[in-house]
Amino acid sequence: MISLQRVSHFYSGPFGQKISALEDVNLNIPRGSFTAIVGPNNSGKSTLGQIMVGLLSPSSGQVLIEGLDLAHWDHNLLTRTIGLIFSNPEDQIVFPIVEDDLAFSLESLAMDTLQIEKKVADILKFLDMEEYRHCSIHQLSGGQKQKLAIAAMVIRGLRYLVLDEPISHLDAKGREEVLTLIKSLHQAGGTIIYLAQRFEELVMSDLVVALVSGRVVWQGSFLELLERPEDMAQWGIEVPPIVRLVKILQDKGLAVAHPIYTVDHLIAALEKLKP
Amino acid sequence: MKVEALDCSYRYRHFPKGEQEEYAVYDIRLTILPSKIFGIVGANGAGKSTLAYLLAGLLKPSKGLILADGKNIYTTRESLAAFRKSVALVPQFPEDQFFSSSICQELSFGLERGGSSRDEIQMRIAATLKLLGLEFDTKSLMGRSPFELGGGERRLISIAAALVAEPKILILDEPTARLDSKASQRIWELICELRQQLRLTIIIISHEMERLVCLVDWLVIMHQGKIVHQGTPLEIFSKPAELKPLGLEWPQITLLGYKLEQFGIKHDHRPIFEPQEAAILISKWFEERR
Repeated sequence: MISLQRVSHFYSGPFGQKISALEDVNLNIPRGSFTAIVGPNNSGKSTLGQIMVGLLSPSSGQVLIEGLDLAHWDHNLLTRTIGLIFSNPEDQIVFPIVEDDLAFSLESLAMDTLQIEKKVADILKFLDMEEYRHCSIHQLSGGQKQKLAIAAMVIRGLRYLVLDEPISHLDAKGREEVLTLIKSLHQAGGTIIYLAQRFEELVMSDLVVALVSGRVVWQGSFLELLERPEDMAQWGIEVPPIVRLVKILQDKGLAVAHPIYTVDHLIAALEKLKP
Repeated sequence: MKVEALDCSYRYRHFPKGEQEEYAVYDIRLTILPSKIFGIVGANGAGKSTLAYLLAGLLKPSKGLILADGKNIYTTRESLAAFRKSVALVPQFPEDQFFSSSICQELSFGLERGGSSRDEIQMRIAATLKLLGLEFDTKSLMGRSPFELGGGERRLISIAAALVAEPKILILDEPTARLDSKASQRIWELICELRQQLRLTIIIISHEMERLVCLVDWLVIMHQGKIVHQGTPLEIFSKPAELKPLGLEWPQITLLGYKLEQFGIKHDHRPIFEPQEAAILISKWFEERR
């Protein structure tokens, strides 16, 4: 479990003024859950992500990971427990060759060569990217680069993964590839904290947290979020046309009930109403 | 101004030795008509940005011609300079290129280099900001750094920097990438306003098919360096079978339209794009059977 207790964070502005990024955030993220954090640009999502993994120390408040204050965690152990993925995979790929980048992640943990070999082979198989093992990074698509960046993180045996809008730089195919990978990591027992900007990223979540101007303004399930399209737009999520359509149909008195966010969902709901 | 790409191909030359040089785009034939909005879609690597740079006169085609009102833009140095003045391209993530410590400097840089007078610069900046609905008066703007702004405002300032030059054609490469829905909404509204108020020609590269189909006059679909389809959104989505292999994201409502036909809600296979249109079809059908 990750627990944020009264976490606030300030940046200092160009004239020494305090710029508040997070204010009094309290949040509990159970192990094995998929938590999506939504909020418009500048709502403090990235700051929150960086605080959770220990890249930033909060100005005040505490972050507990499995009951222990982040400030007291052994750094080496922490980097094998929780990791952060940035939007742009190129920000965190360090080696020009696929296998070298994966191996580097383990070398820095002082793992022996044979073990590294095996783990790299295993994870490439898991990613379905075995044939790219010796490829140069620039031969990879955007989606493959992001999969690699995620793999270089989880290969360390992480239990918690924080993703900061990991598909925002990708095209439709890349987005799907990366979301599928994240889904399988969650199904394998990983705890996912997903800083989200797009609707499709929320579908897998157990809990949605809305952050506005550095404050948590709402927490609820994905289903509850579907009932609040106006809020969703306020929180920076583009409401899918089908969800907008469902609202219009409901207002017209048609008894279509959520969850409906795909064309097939809506057709199924209409089938039920067929006279 | 009408711009035509006549059988344009472009090959990047920075590949390391031994690696095959591939055309990023080839055999591009496209006519950009004045005061229309064009949408260019396609997967990453399809050649969309390369096409944009060709149309902006920033890349010279390896083969083929770019014509402006029927004349080759590469005829003389002057003709190219004149063409480039009338086209503004806002690249992806334009705010990454801010370099000035004040918004005013950022906006006036291009005009100063073009030799405009101080008064004229001030006037054009004020007019552009008004058009964008940015609520700064020019004086307070002088002192503000573009880095203090939020993501959406930064993007607007980048677009403003392109518009102060009073181009005839505005090219936007992924104008809403990395923006949240509110900021994106503002950009889409701005595009509509620019068309109405300035009668600008606008070329938009975007993955947001849902938005494009409701906005553009002409949709260009690129696949592996080629234009594979072009037409009005209505024409393009009237042939669903041809679009399937391209792996394009379908607008949800258009897809729903097809499924509604199978469901029994007939509308002559005419593509639909807006939730309102779908709502009318569905509720009418249910009312008739109540």
